[in-house]
Amino acid sequence: MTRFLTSRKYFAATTGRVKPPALLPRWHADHARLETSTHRSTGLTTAQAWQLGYQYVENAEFNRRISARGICLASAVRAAGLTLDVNGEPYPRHADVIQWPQEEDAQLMRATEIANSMTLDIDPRQ
Amino acid sequence: MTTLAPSRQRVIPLIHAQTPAVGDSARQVAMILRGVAMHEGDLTASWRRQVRGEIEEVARECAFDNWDGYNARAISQRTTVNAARFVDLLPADLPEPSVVPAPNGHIALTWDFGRGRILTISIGESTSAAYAGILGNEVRRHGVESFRDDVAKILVESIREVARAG
Repeated sequence: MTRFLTSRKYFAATTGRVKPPALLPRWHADHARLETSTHRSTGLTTAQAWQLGYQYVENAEFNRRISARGICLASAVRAAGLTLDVNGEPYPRHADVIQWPQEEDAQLMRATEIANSMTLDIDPRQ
Repeated sequence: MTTLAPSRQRVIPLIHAQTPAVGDSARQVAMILRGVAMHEGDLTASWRRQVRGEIEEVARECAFDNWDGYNARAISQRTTVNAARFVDLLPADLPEPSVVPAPNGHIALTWDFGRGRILTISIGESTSAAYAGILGNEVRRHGVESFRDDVAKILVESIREVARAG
Protein backbone atom coordinates (compact mmCIF):
# COMPACT_ATOMS: atom_id res chain seq x y z
CA MET A 1 0.00 0.00 0.00
CA THR A 2 1.26 3.47 -0.87
CA ARG A 3 0.34 6.80 0.66
CA PHE A 4 1.56 9.63 -1.55
CA LEU A 5 2.83 12.51 0.60
CA THR A 6 2.06 16.00 -0.66
CA SER A 7 3.77 18.03 2.03
CA ARG A 8 7.48 17.97 2.91
CA LYS A 9 6.50 18.30 6.54
CA TYR A 10 4.88 14.87 6.44
CA PHE A 11 8.15 12.97 6.40
CA ALA A 12 11.77 13.14 7.52
CA ALA A 13 14.08 12.34 4.61
CA THR A 14 17.16 12.05 6.84
CA THR A 15 15.67 9.30 8.97
CA GLY A 16 13.39 7.69 6.39
CA ARG A 17 10.32 8.14 8.56
CA VAL A 18 6.73 9.10 7.84
CA LYS A 19 5.08 11.43 10.34
CA PRO A 20 1.75 10.23 11.80
CA PRO A 21 -0.28 13.31 10.77
CA ALA A 22 0.33 12.27 7.14
CA LEU A 23 -2.07 9.36 7.66
CA LEU A 24 -4.85 11.20 9.50
CA PRO A 25 -8.26 11.03 7.78
CA ARG A 26 -10.37 13.72 6.20
CA TRP A 27 -14.14 13.87 6.05
CA HIS A 28 -15.42 12.93 2.61
CA ALA A 29 -18.83 14.57 2.23
CA ASP A 30 -19.98 12.41 -0.69
CA HIS A 31 -19.04 9.19 1.08
CA ALA A 32 -20.16 10.57 4.46
CA ARG A 33 -17.18 9.08 6.22
CA LEU A 34 -13.67 9.74 7.43
CA GLU A 35 -11.10 8.34 5.03
CA THR A 36 -7.44 8.43 4.05
CA SER A 37 -6.62 8.06 0.38
CA THR A 38 -4.06 5.39 -0.56
CA HIS A 39 -3.12 3.20 -3.49
CA ARG A 40 -2.48 -0.49 -3.89
CA SER A 41 1.07 -0.84 -5.09
CA THR A 42 1.55 -4.59 -4.72
CA GLY A 43 2.99 -6.04 -7.90
CA LEU A 44 4.13 -2.68 -9.26
CA THR A 45 7.74 -1.76 -9.83
CA THR A 46 8.97 1.39 -8.11
CA ALA A 47 8.81 3.26 -11.39
CA GLN A 48 5.25 2.06 -12.02
CA ALA A 49 4.18 3.13 -8.54
CA TRP A 50 5.58 6.60 -9.11
CA GLN A 51 3.91 6.80 -12.52
CA LEU A 52 0.62 5.97 -10.80
CA GLY A 53 1.11 8.94 -8.53
CA TYR A 54 2.18 11.35 -11.24
CA GLN A 55 -0.73 10.40 -13.46
CA TYR A 56 -3.57 10.15 -10.99
CA VAL A 57 -2.62 11.85 -7.74
CA GLU A 58 -0.59 14.87 -8.69
CA ASN A 59 -2.79 17.74 -9.77
CA ALA A 60 -1.74 21.35 -10.04
CA GLU A 61 -5.35 22.52 -10.05
CA PHE A 62 -5.88 20.91 -6.63
CA ASN A 63 -2.54 22.16 -5.30
CA ARG A 64 -1.37 18.57 -5.08
CA ARG A 65 2.33 17.92 -5.66
CA ILE A 66 3.96 14.68 -4.54
CA SER A 67 7.17 14.85 -2.50
CA ALA A 68 7.49 11.27 -1.32
CA ARG A 69 5.49 8.14 -0.57
CA GLY A 70 5.06 5.97 2.47
CA ILE A 71 4.87 2.23 1.83
CA CYS A 72 3.50 -0.50 4.05
CA LEU A 73 1.66 -3.77 3.87
CA ALA A 74 -2.12 -3.66 3.72
CA SER A 75 -2.06 -5.79 6.86
CA ALA A 76 -0.68 -2.77 8.74
CA VAL A 77 -4.02 -1.06 8.19
CA ARG A 78 -5.92 -4.01 9.62
CA ALA A 79 -3.44 -4.31 12.49
CA ALA A 80 -4.26 -0.69 13.37
CA GLY A 81 -7.92 -1.61 13.66
CA LEU A 82 -8.94 0.03 10.37
CA THR A 83 -10.29 -1.23 7.07
CA LEU A 84 -9.07 -0.83 3.51
CA ASP A 85 -11.86 -0.10 1.03
CA VAL A 86 -10.33 -1.15 -2.28
CA ASN A 87 -12.63 0.71 -4.63
CA GLY A 88 -10.45 1.68 -7.60
CA GLU A 89 -12.21 5.05 -7.64
CA PRO A 90 -11.67 7.77 -8.72
CA TYR A 91 -8.56 6.23 -10.24
CA PRO A 92 -7.02 2.78 -10.70
CA ARG A 93 -5.68 1.00 -7.64
CA HIS A 94 -7.19 3.59 -5.33
CA ALA A 95 -8.15 2.45 -1.85
CA ASP A 96 -9.47 4.34 1.16
CA VAL A 97 -8.50 3.62 4.74
CA ILE A 98 -11.82 3.79 6.56
CA GLN A 99 -13.62 3.06 9.85
CA TRP A 100 -11.68 5.67 11.73
CA PRO A 101 -12.82 6.51 15.26
CA GLN A 102 -14.22 9.98 15.92
CA GLU A 103 -11.87 10.94 18.74
CA GLU A 104 -8.72 12.78 17.68
CA ASP A 105 -6.37 10.91 20.00
CA ALA A 106 -7.72 7.55 18.83
CA GLN A 107 -7.26 8.62 15.20
CA LEU A 108 -3.73 9.74 16.00
CA MET A 109 -2.95 6.38 17.61
CA ARG A 110 -4.01 4.49 14.51
CA ALA A 111 -2.15 6.89 12.23
CA THR A 112 0.93 6.35 14.40
CA GLU A 113 0.66 2.58 14.06
CA ILE A 114 0.58 2.80 10.28
CA ALA A 115 3.26 5.49 9.97
CA ASN A 116 5.52 3.52 12.29
CA SER A 117 5.36 0.51 9.98
CA MET A 118 6.04 2.46 6.80
CA THR A 119 9.18 2.83 4.76
CA LEU A 120 9.82 6.10 2.98
CA ASP A 121 10.56 6.52 -0.71
CA ILE A 122 11.51 10.02 -1.88
CA ASP A 123 10.19 11.28 -5.21
CA PRO A 124 12.99 10.54 -7.72
CA ARG A 125 12.38 13.93 -9.32
CA GLN A 126 13.70 15.67 -6.17
CA MET B 1 9.25 26.66 57.52
CA THR B 2 7.79 27.38 54.09
CA THR B 3 6.80 24.42 51.99
CA LEU B 4 6.07 24.41 48.27
CA ALA B 5 3.83 21.55 47.19
CA PRO B 6 3.32 21.48 43.43
CA SER B 7 0.56 19.25 42.08
CA ARG B 8 1.62 15.64 41.56
CA GLN B 9 -0.30 15.45 38.26
CA ARG B 10 0.91 18.66 36.65
CA VAL B 11 4.38 19.86 35.75
CA ILE B 12 4.59 23.55 36.48
CA PRO B 13 7.47 25.21 34.69
CA LEU B 14 9.75 26.82 37.27
CA ILE B 15 9.65 30.08 35.43
CA HIS B 16 5.98 30.37 36.38
CA ALA B 17 6.15 28.98 39.93
CA GLN B 18 4.76 31.26 42.62
CA THR B 19 3.94 30.97 46.28
CA PRO B 20 1.75 33.10 48.53
CA ALA B 21 4.00 32.33 51.52
CA VAL B 22 5.81 35.20 53.30
CA GLY B 23 8.88 35.47 55.54
CA ASP B 24 12.65 35.05 55.22
CA SER B 25 12.44 31.40 54.22
CA ALA B 26 9.92 32.20 51.50
CA ARG B 27 12.15 34.98 50.14
CA GLN B 28 15.14 32.65 50.07
CA VAL B 29 13.16 29.99 48.26
CA ALA B 30 11.87 32.57 45.78
CA MET B 31 15.45 33.73 45.07
CA ILE B 32 16.55 30.16 44.49
CA LEU B 33 13.61 29.54 42.18
CA ARG B 34 14.34 32.68 40.19
CA GLY B 35 17.94 31.61 39.80
CA VAL B 36 16.93 28.16 38.62
CA ALA B 37 14.34 29.63 36.28
CA MET B 38 16.94 31.91 34.70
CA HIS B 39 19.26 28.94 34.19
CA GLU B 40 16.36 26.94 32.76
CA GLY B 41 15.63 29.79 30.42
CA ASP B 42 19.21 29.73 29.14
CA LEU B 43 19.09 25.99 28.53
CA THR B 44 15.83 26.04 26.63
CA ALA B 45 16.27 29.31 24.81
CA SER B 46 17.90 27.79 21.75
CA TRP B 47 15.57 24.85 21.00
CA ARG B 48 12.42 26.71 22.03
CA ARG B 49 13.35 29.57 19.76
CA GLN B 50 14.00 27.12 16.93
CA VAL B 51 10.72 25.27 17.43
CA ARG B 52 8.71 28.49 17.75
CA GLY B 53 10.25 29.57 14.45
CA GLU B 54 9.19 26.30 12.85
CA ILE B 55 5.67 26.75 14.21
CA GLU B 56 5.51 30.18 12.59
CA GLU B 57 6.84 28.76 9.33
CA VAL B 58 4.33 25.90 9.28
CA ALA B 59 1.50 28.30 10.11
CA ARG B 60 2.49 30.53 7.19
CA GLU B 61 2.73 27.64 4.76
CA CYS B 62 -0.61 26.19 5.89
CA ALA B 63 -2.60 29.38 6.35
CA PHE B 64 -5.13 28.47 3.67
CA ASP B 65 -7.54 25.55 3.16
CA ASN B 66 -6.36 22.64 1.02
CA TRP B 67 -2.70 23.36 1.72
CA ASP B 68 -1.91 19.70 1.08
CA GLY B 69 -4.11 19.10 -1.94
CA TYR B 70 -6.24 16.70 0.12
CA ASN B 71 -8.63 19.31 1.60
CA ALA B 72 -6.63 19.96 4.75
CA ARG B 73 -7.93 22.81 6.93
CA ALA B 74 -6.02 26.03 7.33
CA ILE B 75 -4.03 26.56 10.52
CA SER B 76 -5.46 29.49 12.46
CA GLN B 77 -3.68 32.18 14.43
CA ARG B 78 -5.18 30.85 17.66
CA THR B 79 -3.75 27.40 16.97
CA THR B 80 -0.35 28.94 16.25
CA VAL B 81 -0.41 30.86 19.53
CA ASN B 82 -1.51 27.76 21.46
CA ALA B 83 1.25 25.62 19.97
CA ALA B 84 3.91 28.20 20.82
CA ARG B 85 2.48 28.47 24.33
CA PHE B 86 2.62 24.70 24.77
CA VAL B 87 6.28 24.64 23.72
CA ASP B 88 7.06 27.36 26.26
CA LEU B 89 5.52 25.24 29.01
CA LEU B 90 7.66 22.17 28.35
CA PRO B 91 10.50 21.44 30.82
CA ALA B 92 13.99 22.44 29.76
CA ASP B 93 15.53 18.99 29.68
CA LEU B 94 13.18 17.47 27.09
CA PRO B 95 14.41 16.74 23.56
CA GLU B 96 13.40 18.99 20.70
CA PRO B 97 10.30 17.94 18.71
CA SER B 98 9.67 18.34 15.01
CA VAL B 99 6.71 20.48 13.94
CA VAL B 100 4.15 18.89 11.62
CA PRO B 101 0.94 20.41 10.23
CA ALA B 102 -2.14 18.23 10.62
CA PRO B 103 -5.00 18.03 8.10
CA ASN B 104 -7.55 19.10 10.73
CA GLY B 105 -5.79 22.46 11.03
CA HIS B 106 -3.87 21.54 14.17
CA ILE B 107 -0.14 21.76 14.77
CA ALA B 108 1.51 18.52 15.85
CA LEU B 109 4.76 18.12 17.74
CA THR B 110 6.44 14.80 17.06
CA TRP B 111 9.27 13.08 18.91
CA ASP B 112 10.51 10.24 16.69
CA PHE B 113 13.39 8.06 17.82
CA GLY B 114 12.91 5.32 15.24
CA ARG B 115 10.67 2.31 14.76
CA GLY B 116 8.59 1.64 17.82
CA ARG B 117 9.50 4.91 19.53
CA ILE B 118 7.34 7.79 18.35
CA LEU B 119 5.06 10.23 20.13
CA THR B 120 2.87 12.99 18.71
CA ILE B 121 1.05 15.76 20.57
CA SER B 122 -1.53 17.69 18.57
CA ILE B 123 -2.62 21.24 19.48
CA GLY B 124 -5.54 23.18 18.05
CA GLU B 125 -7.69 26.16 18.95
CA SER B 126 -8.54 24.95 22.44
CA THR B 127 -6.18 24.39 25.35
CA SER B 128 -6.56 20.63 25.02
CA ALA B 129 -3.83 18.52 23.48
CA ALA B 130 -4.51 15.11 21.92
CA TYR B 131 -1.57 12.75 22.06
CA ALA B 132 -0.67 9.26 20.89
CA GLY B 133 2.51 7.28 20.84
CA ILE B 134 4.38 4.02 20.78
CA LEU B 135 6.81 4.61 23.63
CA GLY B 136 9.17 1.66 23.28
CA ASN B 137 8.79 -1.85 24.65
CA GLU B 138 5.47 -2.05 22.78
CA VAL B 139 3.90 0.45 25.19
CA ARG B 140 1.07 2.38 23.56
CA ARG B 141 -0.55 5.43 25.05
CA HIS B 142 -3.08 7.97 23.84
CA GLY B 143 -5.48 10.49 25.33
CA VAL B 144 -6.34 14.15 25.71
CA GLU B 145 -4.93 16.51 28.32
CA SER B 146 -5.63 20.17 28.96
CA PHE B 147 -2.92 22.78 29.27
CA ARG B 148 -3.07 26.45 30.22
CA ASP B 149 -0.35 27.39 32.70
CA ASP B 150 1.21 23.95 32.98
CA VAL B 151 1.55 20.61 31.21
CA ALA B 152 0.07 17.33 32.39
CA LYS B 153 2.64 15.02 33.92
CA ILE B 154 1.56 12.16 31.67
CA LEU B 155 2.66 14.16 28.61
CA VAL B 156 6.06 15.03 30.04
CA GLU B 157 6.60 11.46 31.22
CA SER B 158 5.59 10.11 27.83
CA ILE B 159 8.14 12.34 26.10
CA ARG B 160 10.84 11.20 28.51
CA GLU B 161 9.79 7.57 28.08
CA VAL B 162 9.94 7.61 24.29
CA ALA B 163 13.32 9.36 24.40
CA ARG B 164 14.69 6.93 26.93
CA ALA B 165 13.54 3.61 25.44
CA GLY B 166 15.79 1.55 23.22
